[in-house]
Amino acid sequence: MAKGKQTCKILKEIRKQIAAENDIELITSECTHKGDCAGTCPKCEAEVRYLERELEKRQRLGKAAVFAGMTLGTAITAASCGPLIQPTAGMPMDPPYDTITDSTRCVHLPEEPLAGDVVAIVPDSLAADTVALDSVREKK
Amino acid sequence: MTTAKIFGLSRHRLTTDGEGVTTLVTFNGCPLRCKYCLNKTSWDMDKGRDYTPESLYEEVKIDQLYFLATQGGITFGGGEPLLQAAFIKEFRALCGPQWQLVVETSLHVPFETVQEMNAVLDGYIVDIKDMNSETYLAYTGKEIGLALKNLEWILQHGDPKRVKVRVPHIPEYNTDENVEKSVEKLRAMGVTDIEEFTYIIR
Repeated sequence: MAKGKQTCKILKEIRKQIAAENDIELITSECTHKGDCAGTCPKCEAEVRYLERELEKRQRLGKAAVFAGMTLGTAITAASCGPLIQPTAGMPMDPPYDTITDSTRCVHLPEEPLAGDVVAIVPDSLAADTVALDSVREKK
Repeated sequence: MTTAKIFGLSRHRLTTDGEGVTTLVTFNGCPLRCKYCLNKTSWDMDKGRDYTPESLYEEVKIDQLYFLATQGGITFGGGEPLLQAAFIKEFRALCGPQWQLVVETSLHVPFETVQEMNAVLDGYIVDIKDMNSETYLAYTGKEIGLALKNLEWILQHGDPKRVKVRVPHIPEYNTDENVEKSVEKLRAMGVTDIEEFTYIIR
């Protein structure tokens, strides 16, 4: 699942930038997971919670969190990813993203909402009446 | 207590619907009946899960750090998210001004709703279908007048750059020439961010 890995790399780069901007020590390691990747995982989420805790500590000491100069574009570049081609809201996407927009492939709500990349709340039984569509961007 | 049916949440969308890292939240309920609707699930008000602004906020705030760091936030889609204006207003009060709140909308909602929500929202992704009134009616089952009135108003009451309009090539409903005419009309209205795309029916 290349898209999930790509998302993971970009999110990791954002975390590294947040840490650097705020003088937080963040030791990350290369992900060696070979299977499906939803773009995040418990290890990634733990890093986010760690950063939140560290930022809160700093805020209690009167230091505001710094996000200056940080953009998604810089994170994408730093993560050495190619251009992201993802459809706009409402447009279908490759799995697993299309579960949000194409009810032919919806899944049941997991035990822990938002623990993974996509949570679709509709049941599979709705699949039958959905027109299979796809779209491509054709920017002029 | 304000509640709304939500049939999907999608985290970590990157540069897809708004700036930065976004979470897509899709509401049930839509006034249109588009022939090639991508989310017909949204037509069924019995599906999905009931949320309050508070319960939604509790779920999506898990990505607050990403939102703040990348000027991202929540994109409300559907269905027609502006049918849930009260919900979104209450959500804004919870998340504060720093999250970017964007709606993907047909703008086929009461004029008063658009006026009420303009100060609440940071951006619009408008799915205009086709600017020809006959094509719009044939494709959506509704007249285009309300959507145009609302689009004109939001363009005049805020930075036009916050309004992206998507213009689809719709098989059996419009031609390349029709789309070009739609784009010309939109430019004349002051829309600066226009995206053309094509529906491919499989």
